[in-house]
Amino acid sequence: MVTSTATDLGLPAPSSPRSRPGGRRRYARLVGRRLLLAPLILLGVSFTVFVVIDLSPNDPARAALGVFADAEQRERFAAENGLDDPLPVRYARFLADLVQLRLGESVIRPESVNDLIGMALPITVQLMVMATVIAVASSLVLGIVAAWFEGRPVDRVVSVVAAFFQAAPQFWIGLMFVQLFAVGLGVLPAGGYSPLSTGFSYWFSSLIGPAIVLALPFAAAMTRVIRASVADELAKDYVRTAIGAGLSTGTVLVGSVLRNALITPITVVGVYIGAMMSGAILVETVFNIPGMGTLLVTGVRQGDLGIVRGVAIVGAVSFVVVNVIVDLLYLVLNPRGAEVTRS
Amino acid sequence: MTPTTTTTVPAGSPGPGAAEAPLLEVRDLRVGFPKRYGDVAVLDGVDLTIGVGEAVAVVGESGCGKSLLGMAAAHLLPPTAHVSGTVAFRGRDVRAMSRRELRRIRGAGIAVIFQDAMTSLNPGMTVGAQLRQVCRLGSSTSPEELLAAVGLEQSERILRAKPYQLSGGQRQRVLISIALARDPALVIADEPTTALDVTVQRQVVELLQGLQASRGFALMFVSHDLGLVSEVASHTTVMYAGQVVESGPTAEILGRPRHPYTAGLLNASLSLEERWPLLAPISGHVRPPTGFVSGCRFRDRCARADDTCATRPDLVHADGRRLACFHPLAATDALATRPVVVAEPDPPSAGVQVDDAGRNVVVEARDVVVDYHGHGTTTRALAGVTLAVHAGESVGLIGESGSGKTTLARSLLGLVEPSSGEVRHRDTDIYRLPRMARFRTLARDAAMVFQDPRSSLNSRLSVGAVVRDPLVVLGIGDRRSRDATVREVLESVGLPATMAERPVRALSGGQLQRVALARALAVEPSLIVADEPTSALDVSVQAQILNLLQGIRAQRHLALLVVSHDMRVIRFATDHTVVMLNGEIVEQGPTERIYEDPQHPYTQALLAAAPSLHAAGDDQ
Repeated sequence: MVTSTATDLGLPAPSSPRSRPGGRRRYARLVGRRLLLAPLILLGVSFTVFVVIDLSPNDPARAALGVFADAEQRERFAAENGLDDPLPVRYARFLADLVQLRLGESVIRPESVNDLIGMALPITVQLMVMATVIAVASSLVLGIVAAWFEGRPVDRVVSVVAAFFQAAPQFWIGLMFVQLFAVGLGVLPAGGYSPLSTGFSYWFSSLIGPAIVLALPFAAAMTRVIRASVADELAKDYVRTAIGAGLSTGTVLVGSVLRNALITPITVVGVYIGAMMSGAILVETVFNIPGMGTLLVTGVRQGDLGIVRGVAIVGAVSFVVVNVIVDLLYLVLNPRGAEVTRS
Repeated sequence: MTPTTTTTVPAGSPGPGAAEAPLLEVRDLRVGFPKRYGDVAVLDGVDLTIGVGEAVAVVGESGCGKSLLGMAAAHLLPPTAHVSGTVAFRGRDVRAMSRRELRRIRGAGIAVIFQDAMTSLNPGMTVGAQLRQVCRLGSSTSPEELLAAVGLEQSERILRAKPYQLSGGQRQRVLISIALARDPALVIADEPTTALDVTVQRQVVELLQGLQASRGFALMFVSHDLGLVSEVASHTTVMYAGQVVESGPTAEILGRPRHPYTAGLLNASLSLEERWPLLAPISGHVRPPTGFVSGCRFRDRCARADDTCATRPDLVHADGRRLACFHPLAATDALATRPVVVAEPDPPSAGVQVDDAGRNVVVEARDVVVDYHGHGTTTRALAGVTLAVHAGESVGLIGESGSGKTTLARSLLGLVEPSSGEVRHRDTDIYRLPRMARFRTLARDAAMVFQDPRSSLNSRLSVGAVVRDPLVVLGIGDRRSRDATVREVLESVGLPATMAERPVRALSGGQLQRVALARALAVEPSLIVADEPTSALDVSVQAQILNLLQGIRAQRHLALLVVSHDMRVIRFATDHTVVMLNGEIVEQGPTERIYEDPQHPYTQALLAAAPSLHAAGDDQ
């Protein structure tokens, strides 16, 4: 009886052919641009690092020869090491070394900066990975639980605790941690690092403390992001449809809600990992871990500019790389290309 | 009053199917939201019985709790709800069931079809994944068969699609197929067609009816559309402010309403359908739960109310129906109100009828073509449209989504530049003017009223600020004269001038639409474009707004362009009707001619698809 069915059957929605791949493609283009931009960012970072450090009142010659060396000795040292060349020349040399992955020499220690970072970096990476795992796992569990019991006591407790750890200064948390577990309970060492070769339990107990302290603010912030995002998603109509169709709440949560809800938190992870890198400097110092942070602090204290530059460059590269990886991850995980187009 | 005693007393169940035990029996259901509304019961002592295979409608305006009742029946209320009473499915109280039992009931016993198919489907999963998820719980049919059953061909393509890639009708069908996947005994359909175009709405309703006949499930049809209800349901329950005011066989209830609210709703729709000279609205609007009055909750809007109504009337049996009213309409005067309103106090539209000698054109489109450019593709939204609106004339633009009616309205207002053709506004080709000059001219002489006032007006401002805004922006008058204008236009749309102080968010939908109209009138335009001005409103309030539009047009000799998909609104509110399809005008002419003698097959299809109360009235 109805003569015109043009609007419904057969015909696709008018916008569908365009909106489908548009979101993803646009995002892929964005990521591509990021990748191209990365070398430029690193160039900028290297320049800033070099010039700013050069402007610091540190004199490498004095640092190397000690306070008792006279002016003549210092000038000879500077000439031997090319320290009296003009700034552009030294920067060019620095860049040329950088391209060949040489980070220069320490003026104090016998090892090259490469060797020093080669020793420190694996330790910091272990610490960061452990902290990331702890933070992601705990924030997932707590965030989802809090969202599920939104407005109830469990949610309140989680939210208050998260707010506390997000706000508390990290060095203080570190000190309290040492006080409680090392001095008070005596279950963990107060500091220092034992390599894996000394045995798993020594290695683990030396890293777990600093990793937890490093993870805490990060976990707290992530818990809040995940809680908000999951709670938002749980309130959506399609959840009601699924429950109404007889699916169990667990199936709905794991099968549908989390996939949609975790997209936002994933995009934030990259930013937080950056924050964690600066946190690592503090934590390594508090726990006396010979990682990149300790190396940097020693370098600064001793006026060893080569080390400071090397650590800063490696830090910047890792940060850029981590963020590009997170962007790519997002591209893979994002199931709804269209939503990007819409927003 | 334990659950067992109430469920074992079937004496109260009305209707012819009372021989069998009812499929769903709701007794004395009370639902409150203590955190939001305090002690007020949002559902207050609701009774409802649905027999096996029976179709029962629940009607009422928005805010009357009809959707809430549907959710309560499927035990899908949010955890913050405070519930008492019994909801028995096949004799067992769903509230006493364990989670496991509930999961068995949901989908296989009671299934729900929700209103907005876009948000009710998971945006991140393909249709196939969502269907398979449900079928895996124990279905005798495959996803392909299900899609075929709801009339979706090309099931391969649909199964692989994500919801946003489908049309509204297709999405609604998918939602129905999910509900039917496990052969439920009861389907709760919560306004399943509200968001759809008329012809699609017709298809979906026919689909539901067909499926109900072939599969034999019982249907609880929640709707505000009395026309639809009269076609679908054998029994009807009318709700007002969380209470059942009248229930019984649909033909009885809609044919001879006894409760003043039912009669009011019916008059509002009927007067629209039969083109009474003035519509018959119900005064006022449904209050939010915190403002529910004690006793009969309808009494503040009821012409028959007196002191006795301060106590709550019981829902009592009276010749084949249940009724809660102290002053019901007499059983004999079947829709007695019809002739009363036709008293025609001041025929508003008749004075400015078609052949005014000095018919001056306010706005005119000549051969307008509009293309939208997307990623490498071009969509032709308007394909050469010619149209004129004269002073004092009301033109209706009708068509389904995607027909180009909104694009046309916008290009008439200088907002969408045509790729060819011209738009003349009082003999000026507005797209020849420089951009700013165009906006300035049109802002002073044309105004728009949008569909949903709640989202088109800034909810943080006061009513006065909203109405004053265009005057300030355009620099019309000084502070004192603006205040005077605000008072004057507010009064002309039937709002007290003191309303200017109230915040926008405190107003009801109908009041807000009046404010939107007042804002449009503030610049004293000669053209008003109303884009679906009543589709966000309840039928009783729709009538108020439409009457108001008509009155103001006559009084101010305005050119009015009404854009709508509602055939009844266009018929009441316009003298001239333009029917659009795929960016072209397929038919236009005097409104009555179009409705009485449609020429184009598309117009005929639109008219045939619109649900009609007439059918129910003529049946008896």
